[in-house]
Amino acid sequence: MAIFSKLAELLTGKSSTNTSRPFKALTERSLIELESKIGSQLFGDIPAGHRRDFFCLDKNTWVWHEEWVDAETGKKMMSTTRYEIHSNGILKAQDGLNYRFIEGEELVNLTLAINLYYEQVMRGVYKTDPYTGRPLETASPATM
Amino acid sequence: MPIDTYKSQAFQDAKETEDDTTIAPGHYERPHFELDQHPLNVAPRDLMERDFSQAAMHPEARRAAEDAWDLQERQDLDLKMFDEMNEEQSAARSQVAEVRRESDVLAPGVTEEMVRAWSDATKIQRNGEISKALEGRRLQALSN
Repeated sequence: MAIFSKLAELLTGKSSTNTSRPFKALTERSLIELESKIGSQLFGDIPAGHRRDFFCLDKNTWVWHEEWVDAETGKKMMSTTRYEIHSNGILKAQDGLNYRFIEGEELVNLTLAINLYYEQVMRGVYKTDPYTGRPLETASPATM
Repeated sequence: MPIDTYKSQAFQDAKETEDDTTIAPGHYERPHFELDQHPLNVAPRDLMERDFSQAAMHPEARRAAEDAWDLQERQDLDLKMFDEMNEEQSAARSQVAEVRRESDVLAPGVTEEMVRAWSDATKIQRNGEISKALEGRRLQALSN
């Protein structure tokens, strides 16, 4: 259940974490939010009125979350897709239902997205070269 | 109509109208035109081989024949170059096709299904590695 509670915290913004380590929980969440900002933009423009999150939750789990308001009913809608990396495949669970291993184009697209995410997050959030793991060199001020 | 048939028919016609004609059957020869009358009705090469050396050739006809000869030589040269280009392109295409065939050939006992499974496994493994690296980098950032 650890994954679900962690996911719920991230998506709702309400922390149920043990108060003995509040700072760590907040920091981890803020890091994931920073990563997700990059992740949400990997798939092109986000439609008006939509909120999108795409992030690496932990070493085995990726999350796609989308929220929008239904134009007809005005009701808030949401959809959460979880991708679990197992040794024998990547299991997709949509809104807690429809478990299945992804394959073909969907696997290719997810792999591309994960690669892009890694590259951009390593550079954008952690200021690290994604290939060498070394810190990116900060531009030194121009000297005359 | 072959000349023999023509002559034979002419002989027959002449015989049938013997009383009205003064033309002997042997006079029905194929008409002969001088070269200066129809220089370009003959293929330039044939013209050259047959008649170009004739001293009686009309200057206009000679010039026309020379021009035609030059033109044909240029066309032959163009065609030769075109053929050589085609041969080079054809050879290049063959090489590409050969490389493609070689790369498409699977080792004995390896099926396309196995290649696909290997490709998927590679993607899954890579995605797992990236997820681990991201989590590790996140934890490192938290510990700093």
